Amino acid sequence: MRPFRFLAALVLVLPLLVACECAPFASCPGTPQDLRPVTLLLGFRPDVQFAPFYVAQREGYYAAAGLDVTIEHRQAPDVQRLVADGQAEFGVADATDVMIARTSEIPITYVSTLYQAFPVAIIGPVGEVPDDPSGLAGMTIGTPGRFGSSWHALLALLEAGGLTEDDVTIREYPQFNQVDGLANGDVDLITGFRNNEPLRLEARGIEVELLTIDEIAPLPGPGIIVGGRLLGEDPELVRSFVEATTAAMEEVIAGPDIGFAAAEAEVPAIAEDPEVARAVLDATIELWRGEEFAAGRIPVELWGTAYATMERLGFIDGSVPVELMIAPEVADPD
Amino acid sequence: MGSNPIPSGLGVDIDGVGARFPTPGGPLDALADLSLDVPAGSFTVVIGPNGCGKSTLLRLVAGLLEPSSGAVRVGGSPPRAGDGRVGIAFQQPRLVPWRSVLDNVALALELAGVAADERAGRATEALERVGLAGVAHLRPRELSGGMAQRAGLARALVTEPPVLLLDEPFSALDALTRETFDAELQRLWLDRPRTVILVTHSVAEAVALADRVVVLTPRPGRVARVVAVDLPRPRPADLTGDPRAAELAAEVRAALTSVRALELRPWAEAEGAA
Amino acid sequence: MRRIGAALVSLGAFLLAWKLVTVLGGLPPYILPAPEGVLERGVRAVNSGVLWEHTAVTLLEIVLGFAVGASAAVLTGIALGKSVLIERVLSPYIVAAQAVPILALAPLLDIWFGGGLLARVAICALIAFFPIAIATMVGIRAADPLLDEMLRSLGAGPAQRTRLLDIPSALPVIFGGLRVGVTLAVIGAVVAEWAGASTGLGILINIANFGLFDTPLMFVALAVLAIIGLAFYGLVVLAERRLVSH
Repeated sequence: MRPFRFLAALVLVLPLLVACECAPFASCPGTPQDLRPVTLLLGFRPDVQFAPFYVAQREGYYAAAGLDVTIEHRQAPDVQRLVADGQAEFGVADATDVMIARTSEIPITYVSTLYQAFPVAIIGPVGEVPDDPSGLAGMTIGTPGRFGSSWHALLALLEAGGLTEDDVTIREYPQFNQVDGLANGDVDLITGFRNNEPLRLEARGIEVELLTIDEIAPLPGPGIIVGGRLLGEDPELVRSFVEATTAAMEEVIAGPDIGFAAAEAEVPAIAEDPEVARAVLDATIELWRGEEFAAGRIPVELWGTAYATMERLGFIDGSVPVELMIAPEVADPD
Repeated sequence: MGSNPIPSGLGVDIDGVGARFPTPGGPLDALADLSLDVPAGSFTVVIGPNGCGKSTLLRLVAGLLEPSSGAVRVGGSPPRAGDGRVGIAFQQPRLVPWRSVLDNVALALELAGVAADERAGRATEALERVGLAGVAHLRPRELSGGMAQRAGLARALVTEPPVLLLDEPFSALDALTRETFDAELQRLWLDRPRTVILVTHSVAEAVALADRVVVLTPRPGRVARVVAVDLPRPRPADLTGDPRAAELAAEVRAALTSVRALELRPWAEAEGAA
Repeated sequence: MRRIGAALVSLGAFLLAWKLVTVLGGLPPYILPAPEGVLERGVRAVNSGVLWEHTAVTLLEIVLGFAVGASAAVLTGIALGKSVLIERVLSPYIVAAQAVPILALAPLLDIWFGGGLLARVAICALIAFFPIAIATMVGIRAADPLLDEMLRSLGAGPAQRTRLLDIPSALPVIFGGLRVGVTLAVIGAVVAEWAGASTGLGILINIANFGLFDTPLMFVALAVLAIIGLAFYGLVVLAERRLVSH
């Protein structure tokens, strides 16, 4: 009789063990089937700028939306490809990259704006940065490479100033250390992120000023992307994710401390220099908010003009219309 | 009649020579206080048990080793490897695999500083003398063992050294081939006389070729006995019928036995048995 | 003729397997393009001149990098092989340099060498160096001591013995090292480009991957690199057949 009793006990105990294997950040008693597991692909490595996602996890925004979100980190082209192929549900991508990817027949759709203000700007020492893009002629500019939103923004600026790539000298910094080039004097100006490079330069004692594209050659900022098939099959899932994320972002904007605390738990690098990380978060909040916080809404008109700019610059051939690249109805159902 | 030391070639004078090598177990004396006078133009065969230092002795005469005591003189002065006084052929053919047979022989001339246009002709002539003219352009790997040994011999002879050293040159060949080669060696030597010192294990070969057979003791090697061979030349390849040859062979064998070389004793020998 | 036939059959099988993987795995072209997609993209890249522009740069880097790296490696290998002292002094540094991923060092090297073609050639040479140097050292050490003694008996000095015996006898092993080294030189050129170039097949890979999201174009660049590697490997084998007869 002994073996049977043992087996019977096991059969009764096992479901309890499984039930306690709960999703992280969700309130425990529910069985895992209540939350839908999804994967979110964020950029290269954990960063304080992803605070809204960390907050949405920790404060239960995703759980309340019925989602069990796993965050993974990937480089840009992989984010687009994996989301397009359905191996991950959500990702974060630059708007101009989305235009190119979609034209290259990678089926992703941009569903929510994260940064209302475009993050990239031209950065240089005070007094050296021209007010007008035509003043860039003859200057040496450091940039990571001839791709990505920094490159697109630079070329859009040059075009607005009546210039092309040939009117400036480009120095590439594949290690993303163009600040070193500016500090050494190897370059006159650099492209960089408004919430990052200026803070790093100021920490080195270099006062900087910026030339932003917003008034001159505006482009949309980074946002949330989903695979085209997922959007078609389960728009409710997409909407609930976007709403949860936007709500978390609003909370961080209202009270940055909570965002910083969530980020500290997820980003080991913050411990090395928490002051700079906090400054980055504060600067990033400004970029999320832009002129007016719009809860993820997509500026359709801006996308239209930016699409035309990208086409003129030769990054896209116009074969895929801009309407197919964005899903403004997700963040703005009216 | 007796042996015929034609006065050509150089005399070799080995005077109280010792050869000591460092080993993990302590210094080893291959030779100790060995003295031997080799007259110019004579054919001397050195015979002895394994490890008695025969090869070491040849290397001292060739200038490849320095004696740890005593002195070696070739034609009055110490030998220097490759200066043209001494040529040596080894137990293995030691031919360079990526050169043709002809170029292998010519290598000796190359290192002796002979002009390029002269080398081919002299090398060909040396090969002809050992009967290898037809294989001059083959590679060493295409030769039989006997042919390769002959090529090594041709290389040693091509510079016409007055002293020729042979380290068991035919021991790797079968008995019949060895007899033929010994006879040919004798012919070459009679044709162009020089001082020859040949090392061997074979009593028959020693008696067939030598003016004098020098028997060495086991390690550390020194001269145990010199047996003069007075058989008339030219001697036939096969001396089995010759009574005088048999006598001399017996003398040599007795000398070898008398030095109590361990390997030459019967395996089950009791203490004190003959 | 048979060799070419066998090669064509295996190439056909490989292409077929590739196509099957994309079909059976349902893989979209932006994750794994099918062979005909890569070919079509390649033809377009050739026609637009883009492909040759980048290929020419990388070819030059490989040729120069391999030439410099192989020469330095053979000379170093001879020194290491002939002198126990040199080997004891140098080999810790050589081995440590090999163990450090050059990809991490390459940006620094790029700066030290001034960031132009010279830097690319230096990085490529460094990457190709190790297997050739070690093969040379091992080959030199394996020279037959019996032949060495024979040469001494003919009056050859140490330099002559190195020239007449050590180097020729080491050639088969050295060529083994050269086969490995030449394929590493191809990788080395790409790694060097990633450290700071603006043209070359490595840069084309970056542009296709990060800039254009054009996976077929990336595969075109990879295919060209593979072909270059095969071609150079074949040249080394050909040279070996000519120079090594034993």
